[in-house]
Amino acid sequence: MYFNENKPRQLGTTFSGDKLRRKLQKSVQQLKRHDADVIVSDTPTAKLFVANSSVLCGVSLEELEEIFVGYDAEAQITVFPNKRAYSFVEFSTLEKAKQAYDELHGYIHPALRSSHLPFLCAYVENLPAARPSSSLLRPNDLVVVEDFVTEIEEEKLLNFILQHAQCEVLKHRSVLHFGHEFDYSSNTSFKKCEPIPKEIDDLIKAVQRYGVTIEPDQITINIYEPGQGIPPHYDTHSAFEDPVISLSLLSDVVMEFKDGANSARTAGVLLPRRSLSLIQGESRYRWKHGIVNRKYDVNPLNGRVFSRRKRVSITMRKIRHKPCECAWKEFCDWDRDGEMSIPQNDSSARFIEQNYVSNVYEEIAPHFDETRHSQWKAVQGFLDSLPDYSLVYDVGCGNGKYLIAKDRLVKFGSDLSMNLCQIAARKDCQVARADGRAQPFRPIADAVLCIAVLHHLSSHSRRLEMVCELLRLLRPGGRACITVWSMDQTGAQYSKMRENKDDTEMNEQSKGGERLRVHDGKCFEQQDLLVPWQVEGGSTTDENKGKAFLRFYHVFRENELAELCLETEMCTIEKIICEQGNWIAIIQKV
Amino acid sequence: MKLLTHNFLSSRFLKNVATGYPLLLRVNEKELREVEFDQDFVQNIMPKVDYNCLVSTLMAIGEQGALPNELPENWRENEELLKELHRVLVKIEVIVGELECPESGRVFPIKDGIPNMLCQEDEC
Repeated sequence: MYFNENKPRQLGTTFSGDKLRRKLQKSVQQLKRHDADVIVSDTPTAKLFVANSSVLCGVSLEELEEIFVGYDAEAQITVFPNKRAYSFVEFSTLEKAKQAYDELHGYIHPALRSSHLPFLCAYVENLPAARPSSSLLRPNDLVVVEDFVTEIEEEKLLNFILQHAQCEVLKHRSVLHFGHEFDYSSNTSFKKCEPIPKEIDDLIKAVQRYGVTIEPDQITINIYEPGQGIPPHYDTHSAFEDPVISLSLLSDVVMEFKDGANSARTAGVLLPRRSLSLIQGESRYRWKHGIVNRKYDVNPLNGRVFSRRKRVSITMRKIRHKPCECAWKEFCDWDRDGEMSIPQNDSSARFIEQNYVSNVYEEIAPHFDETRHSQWKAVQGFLDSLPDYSLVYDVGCGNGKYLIAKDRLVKFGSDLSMNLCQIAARKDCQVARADGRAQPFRPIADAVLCIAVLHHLSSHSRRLEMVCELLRLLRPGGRACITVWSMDQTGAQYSKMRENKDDTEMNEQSKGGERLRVHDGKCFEQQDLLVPWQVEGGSTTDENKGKAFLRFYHVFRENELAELCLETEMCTIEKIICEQGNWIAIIQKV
Repeated sequence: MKLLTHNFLSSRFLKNVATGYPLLLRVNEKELREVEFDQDFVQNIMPKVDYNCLVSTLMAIGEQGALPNELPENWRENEELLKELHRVLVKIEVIVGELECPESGRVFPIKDGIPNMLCQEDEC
């Protein structure tokens, strides 16, 4: 909205006069709307408000640094990435601020690599107040202890580490191990190596004063050069106990946490120099953490930009000898004695559907109702093709979105969720609560709808039973319209919604394909998985605001739906349609 | 739940139940909803409605009123009868009550106007 990449870029030109004044006025109004505490000054100050200078306008931190450090090597830049179109620059002297103002106000700087907008500057008396840390998203259970070691202790540790010869140089950083070696191909650690030296042992004793009861026996020291990072990862549940302890030395860094149930939910956490972090509980088991490879970080509290410097981290972990029993079993790397495996028999299928379909829909029903309205073309086309006063059953009718239309059809619905039945009934829909595989209707229907339901059944035999049940409801010659999620989501709305998420990083820790995995990328990597349902913060009525739920899905391969229908030996296939990442089958009972 | 809905419900899905129809209806609370008379609708829906089920259910809940025990041949032209059919099919709403399978005796509660036909996995 701020930036149009198709516009010609008139680099090196300067706006002036009324046009420039009008542009600045607009930007200052924006400032007043978002950061009312900032006072614009009529006389020069050392602080500049600079509009059209954020990543929203296609301007990177590197470009900002390059431009402003040219005026003042000590210039301090404050940004609000993805939130504001403007930044602030604080200069060390009034003169430097004036020079920058005079040369940059209205100027489309030639150093800009993609933006075509002029910087619009104004002097300000102050910067926006720092946001209270409580307003920032932060993974639960994470603890950061500031000033855990003194500067003298830090120096001693660094002397010991940096003089140690046994550093292993990885792609993005150097590492050093004590106690046990860490195997980067399996992400586990078993092989004994150089014993933990006294310097680190003292540290372990100090950590135990903070309520840590484990005794770490695997130490990894990472040495990061400026700009180096570490990809987002979970510390393997079954390899290490809780917590993962880490001491930051030499410089500050922003660690990025990503919710394993929704990778668009990220939290930047400042790890100050000499601080200790305890990555434990939810922050250890459910959130991934990593450090982005980049030259600059932004302090999440006040927006201050700071350049990365060399950093050393000491990670202390305790090797786990018994299987993990954490409460975040969906994110665990083993199938929890079959509980989290892809169902192999009917009782485990029932367990999965109870916990990851039925219970979830009861919980999310109000939010589901707020968000489910759009209708698919192929389904509407099917309904339009039916003669007036046809008898239609909608199996898994949800909030009743296909029942409410006043369309000269005689429609009844059923749903497993009582809360969804109530929502549909309030809209004057005729509904009964029932299981998809045990329908309470007379078997004389002209047509049956089954929209986005079949993929919630967790075994082949249960899916087959459901299609048989749909066909049982039909009179001979009656037709059914069945839709399911496709494994191939190319061009689908869902994948567009997830565009700002990562490509699926294969969960390094998971071996074998038998475990149900939480889907956190764009592409489906396996057919049976748990898909997060995020109750948005904007939802007004919902007590589950901001919570994530996991629903079981079996996503269908090409031809799979047709084959399933034919396996019943009770129908012929009229057509199979692919629409927005869904397979839609129109079938006819013989 | 309207009596129209009841007319299309069956407990055939239960194990060892042959037709499960009609379901016996007991009513604890019902109300009369205002629904505009739609002659086309009644004329078109009646061929799908099981008239015997409708009449026996009306008798059971004390609502038979002016409906004859058998549908006369000229029902399509009889406006008064069409209006009465309209009343019993879509204006009566059962809010609280229960449904009973005529074969197995399994009872399904009706609450907030919604019949709860959910059964245990081993019942079907």
